[in-house]
Formats: sequence, C-alpha cells, structure tokens
Amino acid sequence: MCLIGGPSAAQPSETSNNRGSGPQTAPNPIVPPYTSSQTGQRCREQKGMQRMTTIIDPTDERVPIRRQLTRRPEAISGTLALLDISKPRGDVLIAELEARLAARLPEVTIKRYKKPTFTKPAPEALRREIAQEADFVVEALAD
Amino acid sequence: MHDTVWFEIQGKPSVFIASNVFVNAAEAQSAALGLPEVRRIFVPHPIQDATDDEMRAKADAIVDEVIAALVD
Repeated sequence: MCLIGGPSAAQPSETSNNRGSGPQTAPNPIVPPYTSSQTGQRCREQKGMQRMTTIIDPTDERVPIRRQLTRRPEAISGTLALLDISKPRGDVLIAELEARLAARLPEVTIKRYKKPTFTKPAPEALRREIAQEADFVVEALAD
Repeated sequence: MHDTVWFEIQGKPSVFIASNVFVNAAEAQSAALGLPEVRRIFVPHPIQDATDDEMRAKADAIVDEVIAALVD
C-alpha cells in the first residue's frame, strides 16, 4: 500500500530511521520510523515535488514453530489442574466443573489454581508450579 | 491460549474453555502459536451476566467434552 504524503509530510529520505537528523519540515503522524518492509521493497509515490512515504506491512512475518499435541493416555489419572484465568463468573463454572469432575473421576486429585489476570499469560512461577504438580490442565474461562 | 499451548509443550494434556464468541479468535491464535489442534471447548455466550444456575448448566454440558479432550 502506498500513501502520498500531505503538505506536512516529511521530506524524502532513503533511510526512514533518521527522524530528527534530516531536513524534515514537520513530523508526519502516519509515517513511523520503520526501517524495513516484508519484501524489502520500498513503496514510493512521487507527485509534484519530491515526496516519498514508506509504508510498512505491520503484520508478523515470522512462521511459528509447528508443534505437536501431547499424546493422550487412555484415561485421566494423577492430578488434574483447573486454572482460573480470573475472568468474572468463570469461578462459578469452574466450581461446578470441579464438582462434576470429582464425581466422575473419584481417583483423580483435582487442584484449583488462579492466575492474577486474564490479560496476560500466567506468571512463570505459577506455570512451573502447575506443571510440577499436575498431569492434566483445564484452563477457563475466556469470554 | 498461551498457557494451554505452554502446558502442551511441557507434555501435559490440556484444554481451554471459552465462550463461543472466541471460536474464530481461537482458531487464529492457535495457528499463530504453532498448535492449531490445541483442544478447546466453547460454551454459549453470554457469561458475565449469566446467573449462577446458567453458569452451572454450561459447566454440566461440557463435562464429557472436557474428559474427552484430555484422553485419546
């Protein structure tokens, strides 16, 4: 995608990371100082006076590592962790789930955990604690 | 989702539960995390204004799914 800078657009620059060091006339709010694009190809538009704006694709270029689902046993045994992500009302569902699972799996130990906020992954210490203590994990409840 | 994938990486069979407004988001995020097959269960929306009885009914409805998600 290309955009042509407006009257307040920055002057053309070959490297767009020199904000503050070139002869720019005014900050351009739509042209952050990105330095590279996905293809390495700059998008240039010129109209009238020499103006150039570089727009970079902000999407993640990385290809995730392909992972495998953990092999499942034929039956649940040991300890099952119920991880509450701290969303309102989730605790009601988890409490009921705990009771139902305890009735269905009387030989399984069920342990409750709660992470401090649903806005971030669980703290590393909590993750390690669960991984050390539990054989299965149920995480709830995102809404 | 991040936590569930992390536990899978640690060798712990895991499943996460979300409301059904997250179906598409879960699909996209699980792929982005490299584990599109991550087990997930969806309960009917809404959640936060549901009564306790409604929340318990949602839990009751997925008990079998939860167990099935953790075993082969």
